[in-house]
Amino acid sequence: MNDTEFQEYLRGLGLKVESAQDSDSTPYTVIRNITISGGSLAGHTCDVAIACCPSQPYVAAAAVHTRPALLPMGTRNTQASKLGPNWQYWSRRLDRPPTPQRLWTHILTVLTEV
Amino acid sequence: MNTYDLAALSAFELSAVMTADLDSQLRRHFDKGPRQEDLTFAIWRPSSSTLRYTAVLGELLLPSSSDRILNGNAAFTGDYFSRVLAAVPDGAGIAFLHSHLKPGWQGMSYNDTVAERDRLAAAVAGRTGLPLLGLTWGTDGAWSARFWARTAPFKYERLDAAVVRVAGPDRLTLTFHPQLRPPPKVSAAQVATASVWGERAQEDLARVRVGIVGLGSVGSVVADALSRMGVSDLLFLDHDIIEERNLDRTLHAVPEDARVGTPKVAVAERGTTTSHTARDFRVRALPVSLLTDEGLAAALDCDVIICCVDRPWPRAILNAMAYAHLIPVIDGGIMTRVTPEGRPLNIDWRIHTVGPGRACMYCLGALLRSDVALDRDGMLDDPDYIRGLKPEDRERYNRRNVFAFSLAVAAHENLQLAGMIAGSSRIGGVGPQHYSAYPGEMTVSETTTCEPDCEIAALTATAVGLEVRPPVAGRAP
Repeated sequence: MNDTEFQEYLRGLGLKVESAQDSDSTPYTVIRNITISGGSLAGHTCDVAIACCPSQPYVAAAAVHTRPALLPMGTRNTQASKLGPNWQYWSRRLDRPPTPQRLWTHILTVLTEV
Repeated sequence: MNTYDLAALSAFELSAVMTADLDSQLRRHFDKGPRQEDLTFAIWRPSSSTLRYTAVLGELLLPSSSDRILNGNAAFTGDYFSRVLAAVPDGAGIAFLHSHLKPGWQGMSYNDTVAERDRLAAAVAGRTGLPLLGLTWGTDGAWSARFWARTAPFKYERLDAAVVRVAGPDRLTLTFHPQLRPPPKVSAAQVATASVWGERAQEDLARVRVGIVGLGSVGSVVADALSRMGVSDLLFLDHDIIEERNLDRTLHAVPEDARVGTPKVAVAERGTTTSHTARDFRVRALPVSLLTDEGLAAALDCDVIICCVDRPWPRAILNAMAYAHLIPVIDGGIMTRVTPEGRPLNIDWRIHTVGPGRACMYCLGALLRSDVALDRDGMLDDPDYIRGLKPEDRERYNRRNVFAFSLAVAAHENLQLAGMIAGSSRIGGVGPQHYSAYPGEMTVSETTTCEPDCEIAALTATAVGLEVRPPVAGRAP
């Protein structure tokens, strides 16, 4: 897996995918306008960013970033994001072999398990 | 200059490597009885490092019955070779493999030379941009290899490989070129050692190139023990220097080293230069991190690597290298937990070898992908991040250690290396080892394999480039 495959997979699902950089110039994949389908945040819409993998082989970042912040900052393993003041860093681990489908499922799980 | 030009290739030591699975397939294909040779083509991919140029053999392009003529000798047809030229993917090379009816490293007959130099070398170089690789199989399973380098238009010259490696779950089999890498005689200082596993294994141990990544508490002991065992070709990789806090568990380090900040690799070099038993002892001590272009290239020079670092990110790189470049990695780790009052709760360590045919560090549960990401992204150096972790996660990053724990891990890492080279599970055991200090028990798993969807096993024999990004600002690489 690589970032291009992930982005193509997301576009194949009909999602709007963009790019962004944080304050360290780290590139991110940004998925726009995700509506959360379950959990206490059901019905909220947010953008989600995942840091691109700078290495080979691919290792998924251990965090997802949301815009806007959906939780009080500092709760539930969240903190400020280097992407900017509108963003929130969620420390969330993915410890399975990375595939585009698995990474997308991971994002949805993170958003709905709150 | 092209990769297949003599000037490019002759700058390197040449080698070839394959998995034991591929070796078994070839053995079955070549087994035609005592009077019949056979042949095949295969795909290989280049693995280039500081000193060495290696062909990593991949898939076979086996002949059909009409693709070659068997009459004691074996000859391929033009149609077969044309099919091979069409099948080779971009970036890959072509190997021509055939069997002989004698054991050991093989020379080349006139017909062998004509086939490789005059019929194949130019066409292969033109099609692939890489030199033709020729390999010959001996009846004892020994492989000999050579590359065909262009010296002038339409002229090709044979460059012999120094070693051919077969990496499998139980053994790393090495066939050395008898002149380029001749066997050293067992010295008087090695008699007791060689008497355990025999002179043949001692000769291989003496010539295997072992890289030690991390020359701290475990690595400094591994280095010393290897040099005493007769291993004569060592690479030390560590960017760190000796500090006072290292003196309780780094072999050969003295207070003066902490005062002046001696590189850890220099301390290990100083120690092994005086403790080795080999007549011709070479050590390359590089004070650089594995996570640099120089460090990665040096590690790829090795036949085996002993991983003595505890950081997840370099361990992940070595984990991938073991499969993609067929360089087995022996890895160990120590975990100590204490009660809130500071008394020992659990002390354990584990030692395992990863590489083709074995489970990788992820599938063994010895390394978490998410820890790798956190280390790569600098989070494990962020005290606020560490403070916010759950206690059980935070415990994984503690650095508690005692020299005796490191001695035990180092001893078993060395034994796994010796067992792998000697081909004897009676030295290194049958698989991953896990020691629990209480009650004092070593448990051993049979060698296991990766999960079916493991991305690391999927890298096997791909020779894929391993990339590390520049270090996070303000953090040592």
